[in-house]
Amino acid sequence: MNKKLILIPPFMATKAFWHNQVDALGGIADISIPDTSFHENIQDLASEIIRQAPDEFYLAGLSMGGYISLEIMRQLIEAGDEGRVTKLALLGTNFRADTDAIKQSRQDQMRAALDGDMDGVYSKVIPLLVHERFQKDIDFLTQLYGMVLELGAEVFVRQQLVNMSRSDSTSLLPKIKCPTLIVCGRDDVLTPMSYHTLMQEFMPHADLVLIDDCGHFSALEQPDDVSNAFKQWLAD
Amino acid sequence: MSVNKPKLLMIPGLICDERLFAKQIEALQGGLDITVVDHARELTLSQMANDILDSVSGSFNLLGLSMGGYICFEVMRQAKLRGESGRIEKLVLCSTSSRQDEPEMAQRRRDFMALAKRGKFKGMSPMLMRTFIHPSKLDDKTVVKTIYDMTESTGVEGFINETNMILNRPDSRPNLPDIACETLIMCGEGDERTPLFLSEEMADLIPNSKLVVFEHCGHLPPLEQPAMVSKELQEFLL
Repeated sequence: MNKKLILIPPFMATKAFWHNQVDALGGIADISIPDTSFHENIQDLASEIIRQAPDEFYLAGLSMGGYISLEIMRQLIEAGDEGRVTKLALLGTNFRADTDAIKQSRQDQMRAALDGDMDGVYSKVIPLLVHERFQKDIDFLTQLYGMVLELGAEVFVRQQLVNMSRSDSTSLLPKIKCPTLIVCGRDDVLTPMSYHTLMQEFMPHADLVLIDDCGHFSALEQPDDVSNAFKQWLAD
Repeated sequence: MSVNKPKLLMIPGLICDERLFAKQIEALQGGLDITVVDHARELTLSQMANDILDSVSGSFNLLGLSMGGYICFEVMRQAKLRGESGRIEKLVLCSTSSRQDEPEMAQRRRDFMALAKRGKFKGMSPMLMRTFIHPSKLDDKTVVKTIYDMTESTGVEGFINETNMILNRPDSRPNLPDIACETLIMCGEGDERTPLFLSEEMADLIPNSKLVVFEHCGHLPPLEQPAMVSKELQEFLL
């Protein structure tokens, strides 16, 4: 029987975000990518994913997907069910909650999105999301924009609420006993390497993989490196 | 009775219309009888090209930008089949390519067509704008507004018709050596959609051609560097 793998996409990304990994890993794991477009707080979203998840599974999330993965671990640990997660992978993420400044900036963005300028807002954060070499890559950018347009302004707002509703996970990290893979692009500007080296220090069983020539959206920017890291992680 | 001025047919790019060429039309209309082609109709590429050859009498100068360039290549092909190659006096190819889309690009176009059909995409957005024009032009309200106005006039149906035409175009590189007329090839140095190397390739393959490159310019030189484009066209056509 195949291993079950749950991949959680980042902010304003659809299932398509993980298409390279689905192609690379489809033979060795049954992959599901939850819909993260409906909920307005991270607690309900995580509960829903837990409810729909198989009994035992591998869990991976990038950026907002990492926040959601940490919330899932929090709820499972609280319920004494952490054994359901065989291994955890956290990519391009942040274990701390939003600062007030970041919350304010998200609220400004939400307002702009509701005013019809979601495009403008998203387009301004592109330099934070991907390595410089992709910032003029028409194919890469249109891939991202396609997902953003698909989801739309209402999802933009909901997912910002999800981002803002997350708890600080500093005290959670040492409680995560399962083997954990931490992945970060060396050129990640949004969630830098330092966040990830710290995460590794706080976690009992964590390996850190740093990817060269890679920004925040590692799974899209260096898909083979990410897929290979996942392959090793999925192997016993 | 007026003296017949030489004719110029101008074919705009995706989502664009005559407003793309407004400044050039102003600069040239004293010496040329100018028509801007409506390329948003539900036609195949060859239907479009034959329609153009049928709709104008005698000889004419031909200019195409981006998708308009793809249509120009088809006009040249159809003219050759019809024995009418001599009708095209001079050719101007701006911000275009003689190749087909790379597979990923073609897929993106289909994705955006699907989004447009579901009302999630109108043909242009701020996110895509920065792939069309030079960064220095993103703050130019006139340029940006013109692009949005043209997008709105094109509409979703026009966008879909145009995209289908683009997706179904052949590789035109084999036809380039057959283009006998004088040809001007223009490209923005910062064009991310049809990068300069594609224009350089055309300049290599079209016998009687010259290449002009515009600095601080993206995919829409007539809007981004209107005076320079007008000057080049005046020198070439008049």
